[in-house]
Amino acid sequence: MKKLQLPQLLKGIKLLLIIVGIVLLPLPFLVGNLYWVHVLVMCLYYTAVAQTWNWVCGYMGQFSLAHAGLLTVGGYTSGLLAYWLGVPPLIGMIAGGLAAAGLGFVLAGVSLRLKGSYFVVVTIGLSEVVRITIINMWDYTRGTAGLRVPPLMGVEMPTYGYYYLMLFFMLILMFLTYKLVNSSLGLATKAIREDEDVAMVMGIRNIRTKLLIFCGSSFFAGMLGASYVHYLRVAGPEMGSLFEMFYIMAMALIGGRGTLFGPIIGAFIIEFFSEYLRELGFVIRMIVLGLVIIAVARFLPEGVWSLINKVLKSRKIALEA
Amino acid sequence: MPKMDAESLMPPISQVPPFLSTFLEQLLNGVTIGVIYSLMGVGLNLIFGMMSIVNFAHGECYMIGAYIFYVFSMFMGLNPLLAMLLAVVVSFGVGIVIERTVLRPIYKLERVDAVMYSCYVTFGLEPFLENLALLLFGPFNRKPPVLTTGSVNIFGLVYSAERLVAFAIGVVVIFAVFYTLRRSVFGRAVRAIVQNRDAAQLMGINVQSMNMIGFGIGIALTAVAGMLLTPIFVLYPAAGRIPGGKAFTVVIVGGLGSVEGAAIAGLLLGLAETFGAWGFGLGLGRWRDVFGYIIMLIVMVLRPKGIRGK
Repeated sequence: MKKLQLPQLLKGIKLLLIIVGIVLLPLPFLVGNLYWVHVLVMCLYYTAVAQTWNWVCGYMGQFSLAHAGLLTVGGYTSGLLAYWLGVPPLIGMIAGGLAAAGLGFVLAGVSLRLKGSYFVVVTIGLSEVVRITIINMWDYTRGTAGLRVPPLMGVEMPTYGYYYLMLFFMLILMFLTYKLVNSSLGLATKAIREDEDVAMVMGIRNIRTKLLIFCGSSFFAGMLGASYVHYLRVAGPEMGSLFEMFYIMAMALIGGRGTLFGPIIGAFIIEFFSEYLRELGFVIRMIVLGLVIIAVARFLPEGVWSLINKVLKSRKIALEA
Repeated sequence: MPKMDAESLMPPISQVPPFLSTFLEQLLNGVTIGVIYSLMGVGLNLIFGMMSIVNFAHGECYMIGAYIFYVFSMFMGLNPLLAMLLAVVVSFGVGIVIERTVLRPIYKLERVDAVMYSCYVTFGLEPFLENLALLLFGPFNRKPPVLTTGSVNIFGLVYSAERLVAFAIGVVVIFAVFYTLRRSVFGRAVRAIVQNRDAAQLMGINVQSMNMIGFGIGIALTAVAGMLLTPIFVLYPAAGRIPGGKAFTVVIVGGLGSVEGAAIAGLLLGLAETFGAWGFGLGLGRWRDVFGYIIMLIVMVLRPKGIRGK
């Protein structure tokens, strides 16, 4: 009997994507409890968000801390349109994505002018301006009280429905990331990460690449923010806080930044981890998370994915991601 | 017989016209808070200039310093001035511990990786320190002791003495830092490292231990800011968030790595915020925290390197 050639089977990463789909499809019916289904929805949401951040930070090396701000812009654009004008959330989502892409355009402009730490600080500023503006314009946005918005499909939907919707979004983003990484645009992106000046000398069009990546990442972040708001049915300015950004960053880092599967691993680890720590309270959770981040940055800078990848490589299963 | 009712017995509160009196009050408020921002910005910029890292936990160090001051003065009942001096020393120690434990590996990394690593680590320190304070001291609003009480009459404006003392101490500390950087051997070594780290190392400066001390001083400076400002405002575990954000604005406006620029920009920011929030009577108070970011964006567009950046 011919032995099954596993390495050849797993040559493409597409099969692994399919496996992820097969594992994740029946998952909400296995956890049993609706609360854990909600946790799974949040896992998928954070995976997708961390993946969009991964485009900018992991693949292009631009440490942007405005991502929580982008989510907020997307969420509030859609929420305000639905609240004041009665625009259906599905159209609002696209509007939210476009609004966030506008902010992403600004970010790209900033990143073209400023390098390294300057850029980081300015992105914090942009994100804080968004948050403070939302808090202050309470006559429109309801400020810290939060804005009540209609559900995503216009009618109530069970949590399972949102799970599959989020899964759909996440898989689309994974697929796009896969396509991006293996395209010439992805190569240009990675070249910018390694050395911007050298990349420019080699004939890579920095401006075009940065604009595309920043606007694309921001567009999807905005859409995800909108879907999050319509899932929870309330939009609050705290979704743009630096702690939210800290969460997203922690997920991309722990999973492995600049890798296709890093955000999935990171999001599931962090989300389940913080759910288990919830019994101990928010304080302990944040202390432990802070320590974990520092430890991972110190001892495992390539993230958990690098460990898995090492095992896979030792078995001669090459995954190009 | 002269009238003896309460009104005639009270000293005249204000002899200047109301508008001018408000203006003077806002000016004093502005420079006081401005000096505090300068202190934080100088600390942040010293750290950035020497080690090329942005300390995202800067606001939390402000809060930690204030809590250390609170412990010394209220729990142990020391004289506020003595407690403040001790707290500065302890904050310096905290800075050194942070540098030794988590920031050391940075010297072995490439430049781009080093920026990433420092961002991750200091960004991880932020929730850690804030929630550690929440765990140790609880969410209550606390008020560290003031160094002095009472009020001063300045050209007819009655102004609280504690703010003036905070202003004076802040100015003295900033000028002490400038003097040290300009005149002492230590300051010369610091400036050499800021200019070129590798060349400084070749000249026989022990860059690692200098960076450690520099980081400690940066933390101590922001801790002083916390000790001066929290008796005026209030101390709680998240108290450092807003001043921390301001410190970033200050260093961007002043120029990343330039200590003088940070001092000037801190004063500018303090004045702009106070006058902006007063708005000459327009009532823009709730936009107070946005003015700083607007100034930052304007400076970014017109002069991306900041007012004193190279």
